[in-house]
Amino acid sequence: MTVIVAGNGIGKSTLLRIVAGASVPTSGTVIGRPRTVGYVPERAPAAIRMTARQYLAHIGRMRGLSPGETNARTNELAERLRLVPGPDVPIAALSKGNGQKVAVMQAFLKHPDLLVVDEPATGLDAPARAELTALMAQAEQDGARILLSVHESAVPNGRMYRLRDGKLEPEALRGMRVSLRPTRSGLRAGDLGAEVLLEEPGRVVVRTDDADKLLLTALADGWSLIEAVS
Amino acid sequence: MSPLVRYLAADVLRGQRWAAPMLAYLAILMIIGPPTGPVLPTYAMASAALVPIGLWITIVVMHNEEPMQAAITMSINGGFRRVWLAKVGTALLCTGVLGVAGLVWLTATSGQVAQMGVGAVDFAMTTLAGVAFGTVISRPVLAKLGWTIVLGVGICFAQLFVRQAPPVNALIDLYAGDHPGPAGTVFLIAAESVVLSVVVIALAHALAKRRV
Repeated sequence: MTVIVAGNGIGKSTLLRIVAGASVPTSGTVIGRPRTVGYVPERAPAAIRMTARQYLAHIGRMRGLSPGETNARTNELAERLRLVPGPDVPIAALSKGNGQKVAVMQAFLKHPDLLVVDEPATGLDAPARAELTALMAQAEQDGARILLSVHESAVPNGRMYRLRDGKLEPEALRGMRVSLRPTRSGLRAGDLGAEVLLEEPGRVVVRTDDADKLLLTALADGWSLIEAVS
Repeated sequence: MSPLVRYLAADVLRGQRWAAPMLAYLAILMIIGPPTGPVLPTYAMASAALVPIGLWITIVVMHNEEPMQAAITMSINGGFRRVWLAKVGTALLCTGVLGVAGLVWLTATSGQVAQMGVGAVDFAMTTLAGVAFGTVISRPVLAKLGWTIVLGVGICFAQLFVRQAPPVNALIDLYAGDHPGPAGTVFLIAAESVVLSVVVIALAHALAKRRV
């Protein structure tokens, strides 16, 4: 997994669109793009008049899937991502978050060789974000390469690059990122005395320069360690 | 039909924007036909009217997908060129359906089946030319609808009034006099129209690629 971070307007979405084949570069060419690219744009297409099932049926045909395979995968993804009210409602009538779930579903309809995900947290609720993370982990396990652009506060594991002045520079993270799970109610990430990168139900990610001290305090308070990455 | 063209056509049909050019063309057919004399001049008039209609339908097809939807379609289908050509194919298909309807109706009402081959050439060349002109004035070549309309009207006037411009002025001129030119001239006009259309489509593709 390769992660790209940059501020607003620097061009990370443009870079991802070019890599995904969704945009044409003004100069240069993209080489080595695999056959099946799953692309999740930052904003969901909101005005599609078809239902999610009809739209995904067309995507399935374009991907070379059989109608049976497409239908089964549509039902599975709709259930996993909790698409409400379901895949048989026009996409234009869905809420913004559910529209984004359809955008995620089309990218995972067929196992991608390359997955390009632009700001995956945008518009998705916490359970859907967790499911997207699981889908990405599964895709990576199945051999997919993943290119991700995220806000710095939600950086997952992987090689990280910062887009600066049109060039990608390897980004060295300061200190250690520690993921923790609360084992009792009332625990607050802010009390850990470290920079909070991510806080969601059942998981917090913090960054610290003194991991030993943080872990001693956290474990004593009732936190459970999920992982620590330097 | 390829899955991509099928998807694009289905998406266009779900909108309402195709209805206006279709109704306009049906109205034009009602005014022009049914033929009371030789059918060839009527074929020429009805097929000439297909140029602005084809241009209009191409704009509808090219403007139909919203930007994020278009980005996903391009990503799935391996980039810009294939999707753009599929949109041109979809516009040809939609305009061609109207052309076939016009050809069949005029032939059936005139009863001059022997002339149907010449009529088919008329309709084929104007379908192609209309779509070709549409590609160069629609997205992504021209992003603003105002310029699209201005240039579209300009192209229609040029087709109508520039002497011997293929296919519209040349076709009308062929049958305008008291002694119509030989039917074989239609094939010459068709050849000119194909060359012009291919050049315009190639130009539109080059411009569109830079602006997508």
